[in-house]
Amino acid sequence: MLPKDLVAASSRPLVLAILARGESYGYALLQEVRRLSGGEIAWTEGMLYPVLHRLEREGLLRGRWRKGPSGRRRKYYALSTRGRRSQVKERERWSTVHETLLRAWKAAAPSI
Amino acid sequence: MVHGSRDAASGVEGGGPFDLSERIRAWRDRLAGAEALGPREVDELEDHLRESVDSLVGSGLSPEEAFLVATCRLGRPEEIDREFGKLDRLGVGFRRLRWMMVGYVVVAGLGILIQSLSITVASLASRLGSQGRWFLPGYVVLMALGLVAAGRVASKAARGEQPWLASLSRRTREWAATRGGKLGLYALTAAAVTALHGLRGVAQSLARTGVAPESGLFWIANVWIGLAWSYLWPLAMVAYVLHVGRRRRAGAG
Repeated sequence: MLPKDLVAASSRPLVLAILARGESYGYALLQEVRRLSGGEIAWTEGMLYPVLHRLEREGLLRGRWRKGPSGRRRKYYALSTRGRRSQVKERERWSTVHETLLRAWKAAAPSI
Repeated sequence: MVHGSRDAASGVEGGGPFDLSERIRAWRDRLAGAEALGPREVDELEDHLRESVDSLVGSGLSPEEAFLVATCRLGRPEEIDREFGKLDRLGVGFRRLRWMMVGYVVVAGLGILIQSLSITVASLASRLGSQGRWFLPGYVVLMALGLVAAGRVASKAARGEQPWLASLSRRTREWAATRGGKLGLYALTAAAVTALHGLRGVAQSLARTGVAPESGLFWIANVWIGLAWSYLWPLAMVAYVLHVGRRRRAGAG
């Protein structure tokens, strides 16, 4: 399991990346994060919604209420145009962090 | 808006005494008391909870176990509220202020009503018996008892222990369950201050009848109790709000 601060920091790029594939809703987003991380990233589920609402306020997501397959009304989220641009930037930033770490580890222990 | 009490619950309920809809209603009541959560946010969280319960029941858990696991995974209502509160600090502050004003007006109105009744009863009683000597303490004691009763009713409503609540609409029940506790607190504080006022009345009566002489100390106490009567319980509301703020910050730390 990842530490809390890392999980919190990664929530924004993860949400944006998953929604880049199409609209979704809270529960499905959590399941997708769990599947993609092999269960390593475990959010306290209720904490996802403030993140979604913050992104919506920032204009990166558009939320829309409609009936889901079960007949219940459900809020679906999709990336806005601004959200798509932000997703690309997030991807670049995290790729930079990832590549920097790889180079640092390689320099520290070339055998890895 | 009640979404899906029929669908998620179907196939989940009916196997025993556990009532999923009832448990979800109680869970909603707790969430509805949160200052940063509106009905839309609670609806969204309820949809999540129902889907989570359905999924867990599908994987072999009993409805009761599924509900416990799903609520645990969703997180404590206070934590969720705190996170939502960070999104709109100003709005939360205004809602709190609005609630304080409503609480003050409701308890003040209730006080006037009980005061009128108490004056009538005490007036009748004193005419029958003691030539008005015990009028003031009598009515104040009745008023304090009335406020204690109102406080207890409001507090019981907050705990869902009032059977008549079941006949009300869901929004009204949620309101009673969440605001009742605060109203009860205000009413009980008002009752405590009224009781002090009653003690003043007793002291005045004793002085008037010559049982205990009036002294400087008596008049100082008289003035201070009068001030407490006017200002203590509004200040108690402010103290309560500050206490809530401190508790939230402590929880965040």
